[in-house]
This record gives sequence, structure tokens and C-alpha cells, in this order.
Amino acid sequence: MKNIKICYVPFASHNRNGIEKYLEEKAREGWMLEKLTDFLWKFRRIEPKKMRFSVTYFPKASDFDTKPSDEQESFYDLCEHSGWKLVTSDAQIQIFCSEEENPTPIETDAVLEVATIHSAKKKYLITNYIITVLGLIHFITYLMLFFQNPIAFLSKGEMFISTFCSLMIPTLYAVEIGKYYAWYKKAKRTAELNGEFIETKGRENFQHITPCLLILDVIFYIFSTIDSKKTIIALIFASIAFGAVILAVLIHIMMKKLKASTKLNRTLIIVLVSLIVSCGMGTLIYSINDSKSVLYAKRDTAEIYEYNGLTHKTYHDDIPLKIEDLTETDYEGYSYQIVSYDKSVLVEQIVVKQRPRADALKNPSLDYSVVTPKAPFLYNFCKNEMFDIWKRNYGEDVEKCKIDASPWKAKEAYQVKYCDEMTNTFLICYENNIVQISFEYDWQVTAEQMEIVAQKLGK
Amino acid sequence: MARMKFQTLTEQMFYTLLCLKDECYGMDILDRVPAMTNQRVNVGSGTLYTLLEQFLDAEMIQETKVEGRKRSYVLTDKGKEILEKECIRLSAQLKDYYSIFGKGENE
Repeated sequence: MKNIKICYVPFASHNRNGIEKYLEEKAREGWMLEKLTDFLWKFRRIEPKKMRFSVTYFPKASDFDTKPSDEQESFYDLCEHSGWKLVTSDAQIQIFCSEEENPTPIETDAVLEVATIHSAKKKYLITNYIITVLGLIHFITYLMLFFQNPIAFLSKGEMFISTFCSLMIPTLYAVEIGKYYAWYKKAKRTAELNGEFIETKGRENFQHITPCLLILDVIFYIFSTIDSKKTIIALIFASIAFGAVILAVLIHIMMKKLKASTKLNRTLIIVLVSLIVSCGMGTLIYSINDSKSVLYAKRDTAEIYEYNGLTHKTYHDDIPLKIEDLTETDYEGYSYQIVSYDKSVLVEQIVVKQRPRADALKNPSLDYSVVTPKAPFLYNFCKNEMFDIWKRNYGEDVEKCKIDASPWKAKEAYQVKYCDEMTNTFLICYENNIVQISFEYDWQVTAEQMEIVAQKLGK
Repeated sequence: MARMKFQTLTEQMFYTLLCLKDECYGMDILDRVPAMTNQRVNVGSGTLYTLLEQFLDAEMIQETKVEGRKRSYVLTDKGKEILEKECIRLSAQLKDYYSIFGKGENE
């Protein structure tokens, strides 16, 4: 038979009535609280019995305390004198129990009790405010990225889910703050008017969804970037964050054993965790940008060469359509570059460049991007967006002119007009994807070449 | 702020201060108040702890002994003055009551 039970109990920290009732019910079922943290509560099996619990707050206590302060001990003594034995405490929350039928409650003045809860909660709420503000800044940044280039944004799965998380987290925290203040205002007024303590209601503590959201964010990020170096980077990033938390907990446990002071514990945790996080993140960022590192995020360049005092790169990526597929050429120095490739559950986008070397610019170049919306409702959005990007980049002088789509074997085709002159850039809408392709300005695209484009890129 | 706060005293404040006419420990107050009031007034340990802190801040009481976790307190002149004011206020209230209803009715 199990003698220890670990439960997740989602109570808001100020919900003293909720916690008391829950613990009394547990004792009747034969489970006595032994230890509590923000998320998990440890129960020990006991003979089922009727017990009274009292949850109080000690505002001067801190998360960094390694042992109760003398003042806190004096408070415990007073409580014990009135029949209340300390069960456990976590930072400011203090939980007492009593087996007496009607012990004098620990708090007998509602005004003082509300004020005590509030001064304890105020400390706790600082984290809420910081997370709400950081989350909102994060969300606004994502929103700006979305409006700058919606297709690129939607094609990056990790961005999509991070945006969702960065909105959900501050919302949940703000709801918690709002719920608390609604209670506090009412409780303060009632206590002052008729000396009654308004019960704290509700069991839920939405904030506790936050870690789940963050885990979801990391998992989604890893899956959406699978088979790329980003996955390893994401895993290292998550390990640094997780490692920092573990380190903080270990220091706290060790300091508690050594009975070190709160100040030393706080300093040590802050210094060591910041050091580990900044060293870890620094090394990670350095590795991403260091071409010799295995984490080097940029594509390996096949060749680096100097021309006219400038350094150029030649890529040898496997691109879906090459100039050689369209026309005969004896030039062999081309750079084939996949500028970006992103795929999410909503959109897949590949951006490709084929360029001659800087010393052979007389040879033609080819640029194209292929956008594949994964849901029908995104098709028109992507089509309009691909045109709007030019407008944003080149101004109102850009126009799209509908052309005959049949030689392209497409549903619709457009040619881009810039300052009343036709360019060699086309927007071709196939059944399932949209291709934007730019040929060299003097390239006369033949019907045969259009068909090859359709075969190679159209879907 | 402190003066505003203790312009009138709650029953629990009043009896706590009353107990501190002579030096005593917090725990003694917990026992003396119900004994003094025939169990009519009880001060909870948390409430007492907060009150003692507030009285110390307002210099209405002072710490006399700290023996590890055990602390004893005694009323200061300021505390006595506030208690006396409260007593005068309560007496005036009582006097007004008697002048309306007469003294005999309650006895």
C-alpha cells in the first residue's frame, strides 16, 4: 500500500478557505499534508481523522529562506500555544493543523487578516507583473513580425505556437491579478464594514498552465524544426533553462541543510543561475555564429572566393528548378542557393536563388519562391500577400497584370508591371501552390520553358 | 498614519494593550484576554502577532526581553496615553447611554 501521495493542487496562493477545506477533506480520507511547493503537494498516509486546518501568511518570509526566522519561530510558538501545530510552510504560506474541536482561530480580526494576505500576495504578484509585461512585449514582437511578412511568419511553425503562448501567458497572469484584486477590494470593504472575512473562492489557478504552455512551445518548436540544426539548438536552449531551475533548487536544498542565511542563499542562487544562463546562452550564440562549430546555423558554403576585393560565396544546394533545366548553357560556375526553407502546418515556403559568379555576370540568373498553403482558406491570402510584399518593397508603382495562364499550365498567371513597364517577374497560381519567379530582364520566356516551370515547381 | 490608525481601538487591541500594563509574553496575552473577559474576547495568535508588530511600529509598546524565540513587551507612555484616550471615549459613550436610558435599566 502506498504511504506517500504526491498531488498537483491548483490553488491560488491567497485561497486560504479553499486550501483549508481541501486539507480537512484529505485528512478525513487518511492523508496528511507533509510538504508543499508551488506545484506539488506531498501527503503521508495517516489514520483517517477529523482535523482543523488553518492557512495563514507570513509576509516577511521569502522564497529564499533556508530556515524560519526567529520572528517566524515566535509566531509558530504563539500558534502552538493556541493549539495550532505547524504542518509545513512554503515561503509566505504557513499551514497549521489542530485536533481540538473548536480552537481559537489564528486570525480573529478580518481587517488585519485581509491586510496580511495582501502584503504577502503583493510580493508574489511582482512575478506576475514582470511575466505579464515580458509576455506582452514578446507578443507584440511576434505581431510585428507577422505584419512584416505574414507568409514567412506562418511558414515557421515555432513562431506560430510561440505567438499563441506569448499571448496566453500574459493573459492568464493578468486574469490571476484581476481575480485577486476583485477579491481583495471586496474583502477589504466587507472587513472594514462589518468585520467579516469574505471567503476566497475557486480552486483553479490558471497560472499553473504556464509551464504546460512553455513545454508545449518547446515540443512544438522541436517537431516543427525536426531534421534541422534548430532542433539541437532548441534542445540545448531548453536544457540550459531546465538546468538553471534544477541548479536553483539544488542550491536551495543545500543551503537549507547548511542552515545558511536567506541573504547568502538569495545571492548564491541569483549569481550562479545568472552565470550559468549567460555562459550557456553565450556559448550557444557563439556556436551558432561560428562557422567551425557543428551548430553553425548558416548553410555550408561550397566555396568562398574573392573578386574585386570582395568576398563571395558559391552554394551547391539541391534546388528544384535550375537555369540548366530551362535553357542550354555551358557556364559551370553557378551558385545554387536555397535562401530559406520553412514548413509549418499552415504554409510551406522555399526561396531560391541561382546566380553566376561575380566574375561572370553576363550569364543569366534566376530567382523564385514557392509558397504552398496547407489549408484552402490560406490560398487567396498567400496569393495577395505575395503581391503585397512587392508593393511594400517597391511602392505603389507596382502593378500586377493578368496574363494568359494556359502556357504556364496554371489556374491564373500575372506579370508584374513596374513604373508602367513589364518586368520579367511572374506570379503563377497553380492548383495547390503559388510560384513567384523572376527571370533575367532580357530573357524571353518561351512556352516550353513555362511548361518546364509548371512541371518542376507547380503542384 | 499610525496615530490615525489607533484613534479608536478594536476590542482585541484594547485588551492586548490592557494586558501589557505589566511586562508580559505574547503567550500570556493569549491566555489573559479570554480570562479577563470571561471568554467573550479571544485573540487569535496570528492577529496577536500582527497587533504586537503594529504596536511596536507605533511605539505604543516596547520589547523588554528577547529570550531566543520568547519575547516580552510592556506598554510605553504613548501606549498608555492611547489606552487612556480610548477609555475616556468609551466612558463618554457610556455616560451618554445612561443619560438617555438611565443607569438602572442595565443592572
